[in-house]
Amino acid sequence: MTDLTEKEALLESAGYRYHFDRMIYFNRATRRAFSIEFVEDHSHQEIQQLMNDGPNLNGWIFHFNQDLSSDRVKRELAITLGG
Amino acid sequence: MMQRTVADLLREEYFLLSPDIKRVLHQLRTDVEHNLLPLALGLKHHERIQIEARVKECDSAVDALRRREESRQFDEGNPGKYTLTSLPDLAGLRVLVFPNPKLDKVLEIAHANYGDWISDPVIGGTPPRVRAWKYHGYCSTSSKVRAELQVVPMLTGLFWQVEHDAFYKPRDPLLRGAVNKPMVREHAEYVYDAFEALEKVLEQELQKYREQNPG
Repeated sequence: MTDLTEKEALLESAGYRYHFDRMIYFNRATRRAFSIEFVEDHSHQEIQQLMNDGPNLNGWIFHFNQDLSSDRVKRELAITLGG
Repeated sequence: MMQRTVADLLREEYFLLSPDIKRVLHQLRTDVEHNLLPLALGLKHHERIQIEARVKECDSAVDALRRREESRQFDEGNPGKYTLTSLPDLAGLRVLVFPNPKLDKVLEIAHANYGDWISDPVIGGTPPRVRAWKYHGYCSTSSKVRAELQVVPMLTGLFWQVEHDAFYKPRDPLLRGAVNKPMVREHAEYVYDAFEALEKVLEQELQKYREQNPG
């Protein structure tokens, strides 16, 4: 198993699903999403720590490498991910 | 009047760049064929150098730019940040080579003629190693459109074509996403490992044959 596959297993065991079109791991219960680039570039510990932060009550939290500053993009992503 | 989307603007840009893309590809192909001609004329029966040229299609170019966004969508509020000229491979040439000793010779020629281009090799496997060599830069015929030259072991390149036809068609975003899932990528790497091993064994056997049958 590669490092990246292990991170994928970590996310999936915590209830994250992979969005095939957006290439994002997301969890509707905690309203948290990780881009595949973010997962590639961050360690197991960092990802685990972010997952431990618990559910977000005020909309989605997106963990991306790029600065996701556009509200419009965030809004459309939230609609796509549902929940 | 309806506002034009980022994709609309990029399609217009593609139309304007199209003559440059064709000229660049024509120049790159002619240059590479010329540079490789002495090597190609000396190939033995089982050896191959195959040159494939392609212009990136409009939808594919727009989609490649969209995929650079981690959200896989354009920021419609900021259309000025997107241009197709940021893509390194609007014009692309792939050189497929078999067996590996010929690959080394093609790479020598590529380095000698395109040494000032940016190298962007395809890395894969565990431990990581170069699966294919890619360079991008400008040809003298256009200062706007970049070209990409790829040098690829033949079996790997042929499997790329299978992958591309099966998964990377612009209208199949789901499949493309599936192929990028780490678990699927890991299994694709096993295929490339197997091809590398096969090319190595074939070359060893051919070498053995040459030693047993000199002249």
